[in-house]
Amino acid sequence: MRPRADSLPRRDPVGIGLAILFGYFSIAVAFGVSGRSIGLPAVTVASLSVFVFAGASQFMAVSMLAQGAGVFSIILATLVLNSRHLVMSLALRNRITGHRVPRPLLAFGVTDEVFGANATVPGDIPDTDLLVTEALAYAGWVGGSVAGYVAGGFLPRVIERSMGIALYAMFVALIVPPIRRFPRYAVPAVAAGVTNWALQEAGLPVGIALLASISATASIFALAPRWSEP
Amino acid sequence: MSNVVLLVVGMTAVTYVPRLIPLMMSGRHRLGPWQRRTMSLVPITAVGALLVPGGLSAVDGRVDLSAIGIVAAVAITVTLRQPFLVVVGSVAAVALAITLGL
Repeated sequence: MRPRADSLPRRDPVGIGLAILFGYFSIAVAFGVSGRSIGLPAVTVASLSVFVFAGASQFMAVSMLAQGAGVFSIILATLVLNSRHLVMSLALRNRITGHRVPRPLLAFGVTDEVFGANATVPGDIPDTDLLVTEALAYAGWVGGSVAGYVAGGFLPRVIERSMGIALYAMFVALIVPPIRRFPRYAVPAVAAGVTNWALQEAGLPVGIALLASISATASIFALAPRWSEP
Repeated sequence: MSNVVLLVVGMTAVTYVPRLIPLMMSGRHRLGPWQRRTMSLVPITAVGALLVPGGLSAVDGRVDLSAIGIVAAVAITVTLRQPFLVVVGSVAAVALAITLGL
């Protein structure tokens, strides 16, 4: 039976954008609070969200700073983590239509969620629609980060002490859902953790150990489709 | 250039360029299967490496308090699925443990 035309997913850039806005806002609050909890100044937390606009790598940067990693290893690790957006931009490229929005502006907003929301709806994507979705997502991310930083100043001492776990709780929230859906992903995840731990025990600086364990385990497990495809 | 400025500029550049390149190319391009699989695995291995061992010394460098927070985070992710509640609940669990004298 063919689905009726009106039951097909419809393109709704504002609806998609608002959904992402609320999701991003709450996660960004956690980012703002944890940035403050490790002692970063407001301008650093805000500029990471304003200029980088890539949630997972911003959490990673804060965590690496807290663990004492150097600036260059954080930048390299960010490159490794965010190179996946190459695949997403590539997939969107042939579907974007219209010439009203400069491509470099559209490129800035290609996040996992913006891509995911557009990938699940078939058909062309007018460039103005994509920009609307991206702008709403951006507003949620930047607004939430600032709100989180400000809110972090009103927390009681015991909560402030406990905030160190916030980042890692966030990582748990990121990694558990894909592993529950595809349990085999647990193997490369655990392998990366064990490798990182072993490299740090062997005396490697934190940043280098993270970088090496993340890229080595991903590229090795990618050799075997069995472990690297859902 | 201060370390913070360098960090922000560097992270911005390495995040923006991979998003930009495909949109500026002409013609058809595809990545090989190994490259695509590596890129899709990186977020998984990154979180694994960030959690071990860093996550186990997250609260005052103490394994017990940190483990309570991680276990709470896993439990809330499985039941409630809301990232914001996961963070709030995990922090609350650690705060409770500290208040109870751990």
